Amino acid sequence: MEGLKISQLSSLKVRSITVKNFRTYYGEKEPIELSVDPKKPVTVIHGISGRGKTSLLNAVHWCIYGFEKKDKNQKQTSSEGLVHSYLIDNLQPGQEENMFVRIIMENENGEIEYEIEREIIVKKISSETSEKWNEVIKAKIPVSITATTGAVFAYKDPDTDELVRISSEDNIKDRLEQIFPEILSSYVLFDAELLRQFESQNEDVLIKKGIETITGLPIVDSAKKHIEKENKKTTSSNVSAKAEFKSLQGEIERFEKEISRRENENKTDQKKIDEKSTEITELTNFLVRHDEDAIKKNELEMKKIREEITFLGESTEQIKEDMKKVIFENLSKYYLRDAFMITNEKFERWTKEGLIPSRFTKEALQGLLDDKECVCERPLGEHDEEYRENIVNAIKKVYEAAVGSEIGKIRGVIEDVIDETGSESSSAFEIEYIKYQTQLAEARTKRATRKSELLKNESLFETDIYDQVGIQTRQRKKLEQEVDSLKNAINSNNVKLNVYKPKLIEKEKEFNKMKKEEIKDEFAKNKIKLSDYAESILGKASEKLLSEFKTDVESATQEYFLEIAPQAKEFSGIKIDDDNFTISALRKNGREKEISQGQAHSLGLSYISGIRTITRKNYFMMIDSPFHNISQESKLLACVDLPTKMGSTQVTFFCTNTEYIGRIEEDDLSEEIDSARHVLKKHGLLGCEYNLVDEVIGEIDGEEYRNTNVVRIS
Amino acid sequence: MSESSNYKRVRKLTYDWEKYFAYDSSDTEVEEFFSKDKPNSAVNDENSIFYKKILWDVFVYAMAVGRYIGTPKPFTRKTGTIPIEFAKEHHVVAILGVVFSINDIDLSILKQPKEIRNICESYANAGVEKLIEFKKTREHNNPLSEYESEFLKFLKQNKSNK
Repeated sequence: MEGLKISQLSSLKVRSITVKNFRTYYGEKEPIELSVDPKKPVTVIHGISGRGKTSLLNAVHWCIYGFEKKDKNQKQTSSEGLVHSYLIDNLQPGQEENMFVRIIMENENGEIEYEIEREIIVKKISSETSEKWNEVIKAKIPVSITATTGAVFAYKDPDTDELVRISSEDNIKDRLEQIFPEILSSYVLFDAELLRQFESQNEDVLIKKGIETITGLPIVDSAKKHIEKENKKTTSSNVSAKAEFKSLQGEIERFEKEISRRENENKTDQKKIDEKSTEITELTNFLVRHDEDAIKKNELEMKKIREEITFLGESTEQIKEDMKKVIFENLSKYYLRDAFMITNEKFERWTKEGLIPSRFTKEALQGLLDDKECVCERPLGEHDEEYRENIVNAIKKVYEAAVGSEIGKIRGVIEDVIDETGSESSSAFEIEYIKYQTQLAEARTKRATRKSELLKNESLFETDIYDQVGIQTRQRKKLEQEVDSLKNAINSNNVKLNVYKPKLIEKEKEFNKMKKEEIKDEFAKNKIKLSDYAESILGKASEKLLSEFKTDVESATQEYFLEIAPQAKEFSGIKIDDDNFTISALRKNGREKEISQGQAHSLGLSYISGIRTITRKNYFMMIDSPFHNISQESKLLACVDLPTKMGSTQVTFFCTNTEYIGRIEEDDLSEEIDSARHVLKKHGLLGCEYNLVDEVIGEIDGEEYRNTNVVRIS
Repeated sequence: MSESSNYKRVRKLTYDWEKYFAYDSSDTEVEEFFSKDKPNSAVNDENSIFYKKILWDVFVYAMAVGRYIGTPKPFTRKTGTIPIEFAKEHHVVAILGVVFSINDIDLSILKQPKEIRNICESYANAGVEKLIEFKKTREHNNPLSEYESEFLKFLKQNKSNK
């Protein structure tokens, strides 16, 4: 099938978005007019983080679908909801206010095609202050405030060209579901940070369903089912009388039922196999980590850590003991220092006054004897024996000499103490003591670190690790047996299916033959013939269409990807999985390798672009954080390629100032890379740009309330 | 003052001193602090700075603190349990260093051993209150916290003292 090119489709663009009191936007804002010029299809809304870019994108989503994208994960505790909290907190009893979002859309001729306005009316009915989660506002607000929703949808009547307004919620929902199937939001309003989801198998249902819905295939399938039903009805009413026919019909039904039952069983069993296989992989990983060698290695490691902890504990005690010794030996000296200084002065005075015999008296006399030398250095010879005796007698007899000597010793110690507690020694002590303190702190920290390592290791390798390994081994064996038995069940079902399916075909042929022979009424005959034909054609068409759509998406995605991906030359193309429609990039060397963040980003954008080639309309596109987490180079490729490759698709980027205005200066390492803004301007793609700025609008109980303003730059 | 000092070297100064020095045994806290037998006494408490030291160490420390505070605290009921024969040289140095530092005391004090003992005991009795307080206010995880902060205070103060 030759796919339609985007530029050939009728387009749908957002002319303006108006918000009032939506989240951070306080009061009614001027309409934000997006560029509808096909030559300048890009509008950029930028601001620093937290200024309300995502809120604005959410406003569009909420207006179209009645809920925000992030609703599913919203915590039921937030006090900030859809309606600006300053409005909620300032509401007086009896007062009523509203919040709304209005979007006007136009077609390729510049005529208004749709207008959607969704609002929430809030009213304060009492002064009750207790709070409760409000499902409409999606926030915890006072119970005294009621909130009701309403919406108005207008569409252009194709006959009169006039806008027809409807306000019934159900009608609006049906209409919008036709124009913007919910699944489409993934390809129209999306957060580029989530682009990697297309690689994930968890999203397979979403993607497949998305492609089917966008292409309108459910209509074909439902037509086929309808014809099948009618065909059966016509056949039964014409041949119901014949018992043989009825029995054949019953057999077919039984076969169909049996085949369907066994196929469902296989599907369930396969799911169980997948789950058990994951569990087996986890157990295998555990057992690999805990094999005998690993356990022994870890035990050795833990022994080493325990020894180190003991050593560090002993070191800590030793350091503490040393510190204690230093304090014990020296603190008393400091207490005594002042007293010793007074005493020392007295000693000096008494010595001068001759009240204390010379401190050297006894030592001096003994010295004379020991050294056999006089104070004038003359040797004391044998003829000096008389002097020697005199000296000995003097030592023995003179008590004062002994006292003097001992006082002399005491004076010496006192002088030492004074010296040891002086400035120089005190500085040295301080340094020594600080060293001890540092050593102690280091030893304690090391010990604590090693202890936590030990605890961590012990929890990983509990003491009964061998028991655990045994348990896990048995568990793995049990699971493997269960997987084998499930595989056997699938095989056995497949054997039966291989018998039943041909039999069913055979019975159907028999039934059709009988149908032709038995039904005499020409009108019924023709009707059945036609139905059979239509049924077969639609069945084949559905399969073929899906496959062709997939081929179209694949080829368009590949074309985009190879043009915009960073280091695209590494890739030969892309592949969309036949079963789950997930996407992967194919490397030239055929190897499967993790792709970079930037490449994944490009792949996601390309897939979206590819899928959009099969939509029935050329829808506008709004992308949050399109340049997040990708290189500056990829950013520029994306901002030029996306709008140009998508024909005249209207594109709105919501990005941070840095992503938009940031540029890389030329230096030794890299060449100059321009800002996204400059590139868009240079290529003439930029239609409008807005900057989001905020201001403080009030304060209640110390809490500041802020308002986002939208300032048009160009 | 090294503990290895030899008492004999100063024995001539102390040969006629009282055989025992004493503390105020009427004060139960003081008595417990100086006890040789009670588990929480200064020399038996594992967390004490005097653990496994001799009573002379406790006495001289108390005396040094008391002298530093400056006001002696005389007492009447005395139990003589600290024998002079176990005093080491540095204990005698501390005793004489304190005694001689007092106004109006001269060398003649050496011939009044009772007076020497009274002076020392009065200062030790004043200082022991502080040591008991240190014990009460010490940090749980650092039993020497009070001594440590006193020591650091002196180091800081004295390093700038020329």
